[in-house]
Amino acid sequence: MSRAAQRRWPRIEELLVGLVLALAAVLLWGPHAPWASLVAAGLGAGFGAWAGARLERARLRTWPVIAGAALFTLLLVPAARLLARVPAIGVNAETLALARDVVVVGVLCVTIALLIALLARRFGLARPLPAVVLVLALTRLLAAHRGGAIHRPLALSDPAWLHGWHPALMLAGLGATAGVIAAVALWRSRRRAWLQLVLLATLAIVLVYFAPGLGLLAFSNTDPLGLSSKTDTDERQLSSGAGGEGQIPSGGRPGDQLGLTEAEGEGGSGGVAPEMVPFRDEYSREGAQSPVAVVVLHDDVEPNGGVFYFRQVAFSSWNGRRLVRSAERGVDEDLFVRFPSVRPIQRPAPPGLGLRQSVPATVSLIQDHAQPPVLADGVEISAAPIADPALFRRSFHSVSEVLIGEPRDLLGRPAGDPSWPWAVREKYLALPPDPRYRELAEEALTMIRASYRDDAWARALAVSLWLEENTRYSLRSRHASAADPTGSFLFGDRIGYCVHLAHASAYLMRALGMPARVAAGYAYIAANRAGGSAILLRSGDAHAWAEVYLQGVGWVPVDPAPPSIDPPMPAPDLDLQRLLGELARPEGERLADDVPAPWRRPSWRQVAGGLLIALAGWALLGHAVKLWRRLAPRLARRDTAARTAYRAALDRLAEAGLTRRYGETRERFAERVGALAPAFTSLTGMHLAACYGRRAASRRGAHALTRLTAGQLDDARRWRRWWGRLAPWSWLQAR
Amino acid sequence: MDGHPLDPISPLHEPVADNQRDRALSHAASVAARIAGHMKEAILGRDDVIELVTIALFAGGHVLLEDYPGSGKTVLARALGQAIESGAEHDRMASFRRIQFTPDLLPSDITGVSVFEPDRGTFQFMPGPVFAHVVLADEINRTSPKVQSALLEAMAERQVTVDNVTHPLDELFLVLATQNPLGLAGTFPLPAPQLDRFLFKIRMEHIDRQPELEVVASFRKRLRPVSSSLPQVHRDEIVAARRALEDHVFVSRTLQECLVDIARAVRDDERVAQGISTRALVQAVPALQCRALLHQRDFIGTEDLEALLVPLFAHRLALAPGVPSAQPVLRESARDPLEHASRSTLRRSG
Repeated sequence: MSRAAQRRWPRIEELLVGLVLALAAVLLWGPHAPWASLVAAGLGAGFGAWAGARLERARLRTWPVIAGAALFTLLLVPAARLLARVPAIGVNAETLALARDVVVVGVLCVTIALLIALLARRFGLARPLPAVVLVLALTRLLAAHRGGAIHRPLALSDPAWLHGWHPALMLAGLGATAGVIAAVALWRSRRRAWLQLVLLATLAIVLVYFAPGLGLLAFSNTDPLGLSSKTDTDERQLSSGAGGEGQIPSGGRPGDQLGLTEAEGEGGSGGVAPEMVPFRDEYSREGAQSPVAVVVLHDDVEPNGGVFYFRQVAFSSWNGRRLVRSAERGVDEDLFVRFPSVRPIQRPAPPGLGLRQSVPATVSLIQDHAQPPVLADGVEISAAPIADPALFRRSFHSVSEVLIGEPRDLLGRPAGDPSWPWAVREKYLALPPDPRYRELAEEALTMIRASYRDDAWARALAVSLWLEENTRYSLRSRHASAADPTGSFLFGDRIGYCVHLAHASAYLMRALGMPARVAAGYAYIAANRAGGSAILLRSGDAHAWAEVYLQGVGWVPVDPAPPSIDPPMPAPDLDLQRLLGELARPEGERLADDVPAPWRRPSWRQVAGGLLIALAGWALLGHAVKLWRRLAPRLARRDTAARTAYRAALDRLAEAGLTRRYGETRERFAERVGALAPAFTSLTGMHLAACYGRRAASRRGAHALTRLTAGQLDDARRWRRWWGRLAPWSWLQAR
Repeated sequence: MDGHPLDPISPLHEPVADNQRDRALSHAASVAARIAGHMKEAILGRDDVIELVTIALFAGGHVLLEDYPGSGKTVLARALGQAIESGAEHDRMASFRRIQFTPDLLPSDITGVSVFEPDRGTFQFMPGPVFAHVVLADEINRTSPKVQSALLEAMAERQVTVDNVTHPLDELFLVLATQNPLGLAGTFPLPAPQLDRFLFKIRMEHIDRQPELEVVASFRKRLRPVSSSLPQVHRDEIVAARRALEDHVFVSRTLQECLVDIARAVRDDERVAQGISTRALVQAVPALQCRALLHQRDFIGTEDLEALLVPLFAHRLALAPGVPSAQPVLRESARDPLEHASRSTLRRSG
């Protein structure tokens, strides 16, 4: 390498490390952060790397720098947060918050990158740190790809799709770049290359262990069975692409699905349950037969009431017009708000396990959904590999505690939960300030015998019975424009669809002092299963129903089914249901009826156990090598006698904490050690005479000197040597 | 020097078949020890300098001493000259000569002149002061480059040409040149190519308190003409010792590689404008061999390289502007090759 090139190299390396850290920072901070803070993260990391390289040359010890950086961060971040609270004239709160974010992110990135760059330059062991950070960032970004969900992350794959490339190409390119960077970093530091290789290999093993199924499946964006209407799919794709997060699947505004806005009568076609939740006058039944999801049950179960409820959302909060999703703590925390990615999502088990049966299932979505439709009451969902990427959008495993038995089993339990805070209870009891609800509820109670009128479940059934007797079901109704659509329905023509009925049930139960809410998702008549394990959810199965909370049981659906004046919904196509069920079974399990074991994040105890085992293995290996190096002089041939004996003596010196410094000659080291172990000086002379000179050493002599060295060391540093004997790595320090 | 801890010639070693080689080496070692002993008698507290001068004598190199006046260099040079006994065939050679360099000195003042002898009617060559075993060239940087060149040419070629007649100098010819670091005014500093002809440049520091006390206490005794208890060393013995050194002190491939790698590392260092020459490496090998022998070894070790690194190479470097000293450059450049050489001893092939 020419001199100029050598001078240029460190600059390139600095630049490389800066780029790597900047990229990692952007990847780790993105993709949901605003642009300004992304830029701050990237620039901050780059500057930090540069400053770290500068600092490395300064005569500063490493630990004070780390302490200083930590102190600086600890002081500056709260200061920035405090500053954002101070009302500044002429600056609105949003700008202030953004500025605070930018400062905090920038400072954090500068500090962390500085430390990484500094450590990477000071310690050979830490050299691959920037590459490791980048790999971790990439892994985090691509973790969603597991299970072949190749259209995630959207930020990465959407541009590829738009250009007509396969996203796998892009990912492969990213991986290759990371590999090249790691290789360059390794090549630049050949001195400890083997150590870094071990480190990288360990990291790779950890990645493979923690993120299985990172492999990419071939994905074609087609619909071979023609199950969904073409326009529907395209519209969804575009909107999900534009949405960034991509989990909101409709033609309308995102707020619509959440039931947060009042936009009614607009939006796309049916298929996804929450879309129908805003009151709507016209609800098209077109495409009601198109499949939206296939559920494969892994256990036979007969649900209480004969209906499987797949709950996606619940509405508990009265906003003055209708019930909407509650954002409050403690309210509706049994719901699954997002899909599982790397780790499973768990919810506390519902009460009343005696009345429930645990049912594992696999849900494969044919159309995108905002929230996972989980069989009520779900306790855990975890990502599942997509059996057929051409057909399914996404799959997940679920474990649900399904309510079984007869409706009368629920009698004799009070409504609500005494452990709820007052605010939560109030949420579940709020209803329009219309006295007619209370009057109607009292009237509904006459539907049942007087002896049952104090029982919560019997009261819920009374409400349901009254609604079934006194209302009519139709998807055409005229209440959407009313100030209180439910009131308009209940005290008007009493013609409405499930959302009206669910709201009415909930209000009436609340009027009777029973905590209730409206749940939305899919309802599936258990009899349609026809003995199979597959459940085909169609767009027409989208449903809303009321739920009442019974103490010791949890949320129980209250779902009045008044006579319909619309043409009846046809039963599902059993052949299609069975076919899709077969297709939805994970690869290799189509014939076997085993429950697929979802990948679970190992518990900390497992991880710790694994680490311990690995450590023990390493320690054993270390001691084995140590033993071999100790015995080698006895077995050595004459020409290697001096070398092995000298090495054995070096090992013992290392045990006693005496190691040769880098660049120190053997003679000088012997001089340094000579005060403690004079025999080592003679041994060094013998060894060097054998190596640099032409004299062969005597095996017995060399061995005797080694033993003498050990003895002298024992006298001088007995306790330090005992500790060194226990350390399996001590021989690594002998050089 | 006896009983050195690194003495490989110990009972633990098995007897070496090559007895003749051992004999030659031990004789060479005793010659070197006697020479050094002579100098040690004459001058106190300068064992390191004495070792380097001895090495230079046996390696056939010349020494540049950088020191202040009155540090004992004349005494040292005279002691060295007196330790050497000329043979009968070399009676024209003085054992020791001193030249005080001044700005008006002429080359012929050093080399000698041809003088017309009226008796015979011919020119007769009158040898100059360079015709000696040991020449002390005092304050070499105070004379003109012309005279400097004359001396340096004599040093390099070991011969003097006057009036188209070449007069060979003695094989032992050793120049101890001095230059004064203080009086830079009115001096002609030696350029780097000329410095390259010196084997060592030794910077003499002030001696320690204890030796200095002894010097003060016994200077009167030392002023008397030295009548050493040690026998003189015959010139031929030194020549034979040189042969023995070259032939029998082993230079391993590892050490050769180490030496070359150090030179290359120094050349690649950005603080160095002109690095170590190949000639310097060639000169270094006998010096290293001699040091190994002085330390009772029959092979060169990394220790020798480390010890001679600065006196061998520091004066040959032309440093980039703003770099104060060559020592750190050399030490840093040597670290990697030395480490490599040390590590290689644990390897199978090493």
